[in-house]
Amino acid sequence: MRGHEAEHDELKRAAAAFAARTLNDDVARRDREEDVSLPGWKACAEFGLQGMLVAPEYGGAGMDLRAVVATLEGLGYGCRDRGLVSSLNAHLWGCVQTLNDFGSAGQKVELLPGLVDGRWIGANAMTEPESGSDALALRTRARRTDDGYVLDGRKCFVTNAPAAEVFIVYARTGDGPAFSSLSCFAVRAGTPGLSVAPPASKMGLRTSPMSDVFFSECRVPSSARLGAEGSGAMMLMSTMEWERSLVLAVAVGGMEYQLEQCAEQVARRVAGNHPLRQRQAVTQKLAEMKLRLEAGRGLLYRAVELKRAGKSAFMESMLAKIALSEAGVANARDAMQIHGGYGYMSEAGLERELRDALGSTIHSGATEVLKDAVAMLLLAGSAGLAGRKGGGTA
Amino acid sequence: MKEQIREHIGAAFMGGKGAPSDAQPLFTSGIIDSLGFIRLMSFLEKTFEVSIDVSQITIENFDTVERIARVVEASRRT
Ligand SMILES: Cc1cc2nc3c(=O)[nH]c(=O)nc-3n(C[C@H](O)[C@H](O)[C@H](O)COP(=O)(O)OP(=O)(O)OC[C@H]3O[C@@H](n4cnc5c(N)ncnc54)[C@H](O)[C@@H]3O)c2cc1C
Repeated sequence: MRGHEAEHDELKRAAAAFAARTLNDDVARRDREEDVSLPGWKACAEFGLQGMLVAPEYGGAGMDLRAVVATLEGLGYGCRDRGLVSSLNAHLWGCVQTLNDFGSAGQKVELLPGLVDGRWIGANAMTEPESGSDALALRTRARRTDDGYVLDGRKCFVTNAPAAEVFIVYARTGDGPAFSSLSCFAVRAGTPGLSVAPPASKMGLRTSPMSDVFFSECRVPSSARLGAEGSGAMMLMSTMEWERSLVLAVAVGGMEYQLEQCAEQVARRVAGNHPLRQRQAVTQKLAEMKLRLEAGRGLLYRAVELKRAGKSAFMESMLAKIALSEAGVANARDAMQIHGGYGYMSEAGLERELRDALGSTIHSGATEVLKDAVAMLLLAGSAGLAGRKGGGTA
Repeated sequence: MKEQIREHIGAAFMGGKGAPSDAQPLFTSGIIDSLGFIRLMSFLEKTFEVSIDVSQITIENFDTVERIARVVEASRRT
């Protein structure tokens, strides 16, 4: 890893410069009006963000994972449109990577080039009104027919749904235990029986569209199934491992930028007759922000190194996700407090960063759910609880 | 190898009351669930020093001790 440090720094710098130059126009207004930036999406694709892990034969760059992380950190450092980033994350970890790992050559040829070159947007439809944290309890059915499946059910909180061309959908294909009864499908927009609700309004990440998705007698061919029938839950766990490991790599760069802003403010600001830099209650915040950022970054790198070595990183991905999401919220709050009244004003952009950060402790496994899973794994490792069953996708 | 896998599954997922036969269904019968899958993967990776390719991750490949052992063997060769 060390030998590549200069290369990674360069990737990070290039992504930060690209983002600052291209993605930050009018973010405050677009956030207010929930205006999604399709030009921004296309620019990201031209820069290569959608295809970083995809093999060149499908239009991607086939990058090393550590280089991908450096690029994502740079994106976070330069990009103030966290909604766009959220859409990119959903696309990458919930759709592209699932196809990359589990798609047949035919499915990859059909779907990956459009998802990589910016023409198409991908979505992951897992959550349902009755099953969020306990994702495996989902009820959407995929009934087998002679030549395929018929999907029936309702998905909610689907990032990118209003704009998506490819939906990765998890549905029940059997009646046995949930873990061996789910299957995964790639369903194209426009398939009869698939409908997308109007975009839902939300607190943060407002430039990322989200909505419910309905399947009503939605017929798909057998070739729409990814991987083996019944293996959907295993695939979902693999997808969640990717997502939890990497979804907040961008946030690392964002926190780095935010911390620099805060340090500058503390160094510069004189409140009445007292420079803030002489107030330990303020300067301690800077140290705490740095500590959270670096602790989270360390956990992210740990998960990434395991994945690069071809090892599973379920526990590590959860730790990284917990640490970075909580760090993002705590740091955004500190950043606002450090900036005082101005920090509270929309103009400063810090209140938006706080609103944007809050969603991260809920999606991809809420903090409490992940902690519960981590604890269960620890307890299962000690003989007393051998055989205890876990809930959720963790 | 099969013996080690059998023993582990017996201890970790069957409350130490016996061990599965080579052909006994593990996932489709509900003996091992999602959390168990994480523990099983980590056991296999550590004990046999393998990394298991994502393309191998199917219910079919993991449903019995016999098949798990086959996946581990194949992973050792690559
Ligand atoms: C910004 C954002 C983007 C999203 N994007 C997508 C997407 O693209 N696709 C998709 O399918 N879904 C998406 N979701 C949905 C998300 O995955 C779910 O909201 C999440 O899994 C929680 O499920 P729930 O909302 O049903 O909450 P519930 O499961 O009802 O849980 C509510 C709260 O209860 C607590 N809790 C629940 N279970 C446990 C437990 N076992 N142990 C301890 N505490 C527990 C947690 O604090 C949790 O926050 C997104 C959500 C957000 C906020």
